[in-house]
Amino acid sequence: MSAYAANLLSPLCVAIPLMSAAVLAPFTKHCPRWVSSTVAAANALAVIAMCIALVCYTSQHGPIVHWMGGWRPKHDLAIGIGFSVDTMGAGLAAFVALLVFAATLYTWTKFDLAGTLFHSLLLAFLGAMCGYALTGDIFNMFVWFELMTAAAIALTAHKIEEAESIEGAINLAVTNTIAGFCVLLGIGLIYARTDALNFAQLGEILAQRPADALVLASFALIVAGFFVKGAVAPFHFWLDDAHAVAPTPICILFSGIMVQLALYGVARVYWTVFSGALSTQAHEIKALFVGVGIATALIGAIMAYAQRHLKRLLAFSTVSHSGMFVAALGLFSAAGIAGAAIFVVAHGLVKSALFVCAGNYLNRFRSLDENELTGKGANAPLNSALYLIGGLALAGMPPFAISAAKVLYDAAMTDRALLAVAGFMALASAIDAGAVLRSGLHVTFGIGKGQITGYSPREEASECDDPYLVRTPWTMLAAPVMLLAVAVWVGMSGTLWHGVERAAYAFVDRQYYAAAVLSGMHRMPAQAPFVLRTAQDVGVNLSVTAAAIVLALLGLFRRRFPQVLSSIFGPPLKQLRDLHSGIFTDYIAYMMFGIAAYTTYLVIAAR
Amino acid sequence: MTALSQWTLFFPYAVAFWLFVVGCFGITQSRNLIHTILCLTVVQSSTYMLLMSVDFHAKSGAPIFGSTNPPGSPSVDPILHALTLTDIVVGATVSALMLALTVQIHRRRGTIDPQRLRPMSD
Amino acid sequence: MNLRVRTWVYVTSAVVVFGVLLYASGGLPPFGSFSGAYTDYILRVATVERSVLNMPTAINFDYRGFDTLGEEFIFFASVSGVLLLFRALKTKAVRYPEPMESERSRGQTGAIRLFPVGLLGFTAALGMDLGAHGQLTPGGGFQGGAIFGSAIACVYLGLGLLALTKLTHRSTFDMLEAFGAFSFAALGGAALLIAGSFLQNVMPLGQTGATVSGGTIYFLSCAVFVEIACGFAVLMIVFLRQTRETQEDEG
Repeated sequence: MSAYAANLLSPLCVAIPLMSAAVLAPFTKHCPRWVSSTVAAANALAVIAMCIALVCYTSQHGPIVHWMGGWRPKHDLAIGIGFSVDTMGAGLAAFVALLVFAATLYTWTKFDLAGTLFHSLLLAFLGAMCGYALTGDIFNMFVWFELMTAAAIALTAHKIEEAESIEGAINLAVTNTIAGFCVLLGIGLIYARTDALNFAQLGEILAQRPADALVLASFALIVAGFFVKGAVAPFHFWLDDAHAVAPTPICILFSGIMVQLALYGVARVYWTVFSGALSTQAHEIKALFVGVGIATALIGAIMAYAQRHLKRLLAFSTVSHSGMFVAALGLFSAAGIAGAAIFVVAHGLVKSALFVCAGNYLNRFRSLDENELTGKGANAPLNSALYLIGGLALAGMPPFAISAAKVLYDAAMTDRALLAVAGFMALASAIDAGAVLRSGLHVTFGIGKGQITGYSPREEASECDDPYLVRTPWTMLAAPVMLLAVAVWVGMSGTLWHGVERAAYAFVDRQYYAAAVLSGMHRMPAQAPFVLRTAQDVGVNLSVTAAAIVLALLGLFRRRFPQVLSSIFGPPLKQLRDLHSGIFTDYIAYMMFGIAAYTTYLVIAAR
Repeated sequence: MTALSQWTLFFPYAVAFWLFVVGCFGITQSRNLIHTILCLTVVQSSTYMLLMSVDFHAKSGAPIFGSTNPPGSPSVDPILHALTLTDIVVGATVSALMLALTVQIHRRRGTIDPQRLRPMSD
Repeated sequence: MNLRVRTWVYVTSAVVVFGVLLYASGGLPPFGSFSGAYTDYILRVATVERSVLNMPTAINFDYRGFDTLGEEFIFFASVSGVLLLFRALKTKAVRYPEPMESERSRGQTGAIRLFPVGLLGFTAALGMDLGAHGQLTPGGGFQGGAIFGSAIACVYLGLGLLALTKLTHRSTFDMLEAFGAFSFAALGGAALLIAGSFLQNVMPLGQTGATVSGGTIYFLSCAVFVEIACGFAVLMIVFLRQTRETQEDEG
């Protein structure tokens, strides 16, 4: 493929979905269902194809930069907005499109669409996420961040007849909007120092002197803003509310990729903009990320275990995994990035499949409450089987390669302190996969007498046109099958892993990126011999899976617990639950606390 | 330069940060969703304040050239003006969505008091 | 979390954040002394390269036109979102009864009705003027579109909801709004195919100061004007119709 053709593709990944969204929206009353579904699916497939082409091209030739408006840099001054596409960004964009395709597949038949508006907003969401993944300009990233928020608000409140949907959307709206403003404040501060908005140029200017309080404050604000969208403690509270009420295809996108894209944003901004300036503070920042990651992972896992609403349980599991991604990023090495990338993809596929299975339960049985669904899962055998397989995959059972413990175990080879981190990650993995398995076993086989406490709405509406479905439509089953199949491929494909490793090396090399973007020069990124080992980590994965199964069974047979355990764990759990109050006024208070903690730590302690 | 006049050079930035903090305070105390939306507007204006304060250049005119200030005369930074324009549109759109959500929640629950709206608290 | 605890948590955190940010802003350039290479470059060459006099417009539609594309679609997504949120439900028997004749004359004198109508023409003209001359004067598609949208409010204020629903056709505005958004992206795509860069300015630039100048800047500004004006019109109509439904619910 020629350089010219590759250059054409990157803006098209954003422009074509957006144009299709504009075309679909006005015909909401006249357009038959199959037309809008086909347009949406075609867009998703087209973006997948384009991004895979970009991945193949960039892995051989290095990053390509498309300067919008033809404004190439003059004398190393970036004038226009550049789409600097490297393998990692293009690969993430391809994954985004894959999940959008799964969402379209799910909504093909029977799903209650609002004319074409659902698909139109879905396509706008797709365009925004692709733009976010591919861009090389910090303000452009903010613009796509805001488009993601706007589309997310509207899509979360899709079921307008249920008050909870609207409330969840309000929580999402308030928290994510303030997060956006936080990011913009950070951008303003860094612009004041450098008069630049392009990642590469910002990095070059900032690397000339060590970071002072202004740069650190800017970094703290940007990280805090992106962490809100990335559902990292103490900013994660909106996620479970939004997930519990959003329609299933939107849950796929939120948990599968939107949260992870925000964390990608943090990584991208750190490595291209701040890594030169912050090289002396790297140890403290590492401690912050790892600490916050562990806290988030454990909070998410424990709250997941304490839920009975299936979607809310899965949402907390996403929070927990988000913490694990942050901890993996916090290792600040190419190995960490590579592991995090594969983890993100694998988790996205498995979690999406789980959400679809939960949605299928909702449509068949009009409930997502584990206590109400007890035993009914046997009437939907394929769906229940997929749910249980998904639960095992979430724990890291080998063909599916959720490699958190593995990555950190590898990295721990260089630093013994990280063994403890790996241990916490494994524990969190086991707890939340155990929660999923417990709910799956409870629903499918009706075994276990424990009644879970926790919130569940009194009644829930089905998402389908027909509220009394007898059989799950094949499209709604095809989606999780496809997702789990791709997860198996990801787990076993050596070429993919090797490609991700090379991409990770390019990702963390700031000077390589700056040279490619500003001068068009391509030199090889720094390489060290590093292979994602598979041998001994199979053992770790199997033991985590076994622990998850044990925890699931423990949860099922809770009545046999001694009272003393309940009295020890009961009150702290209640306190944790009370924190998740469901009111955004509390969430903003926690958010400000989090911003205070991050900025103080980074500006004062890390100086 | 006296200490006071030195301090005035950083006052606009302080105003921006104050607006951010006070706007969020209003949201935490809010008992009415319309009030919340207006507080969001205040938080948004903190970003305008910061961007506009950063780009101001003393003894320069607006970045629009005409007969009185021909191209080439000193002017403030137009880039942040363009960014602020984008920001304003973003704020307006989020307000529209939130207002629509407020109308709908009033229909479903009969209240727009955030303290009485609890989607899924445990 | 009760009010006292929440307030204390917030106030202490906010004081800390404010203090830290003030400390950090010591590194900012003092107010009024900002300068930089990017700014100087744009101010020096924009008029020469693009024949426009309004720098923010040049940046919005040319140098950083891609941000404007995103912003366009944020607006578009919000309007679609509002339409999604206010859609008619199948489960409830939703009625959108037409406003009654007597509403029009409820408490309104002739002057109150005439003044907004008079203002309507002026507002619409002002909006179109600002939108069309964005490259010369302070203005542009966004500003002009917002002003034009308020002309719809003038119709409602002066003539009432009945006239608003009869005089305006919401689906036309909807279609035009989508067309505006689509044409912005399409102009960019056309530039991509013609010149190899998305949103490149491929049209003849004209003379600085002429009414139509700036190449694609002019047309992009017009596309944005169409989208924003029609988008605001749709929003106004949809929100104002909700007042009708609410009254029926209560009645």
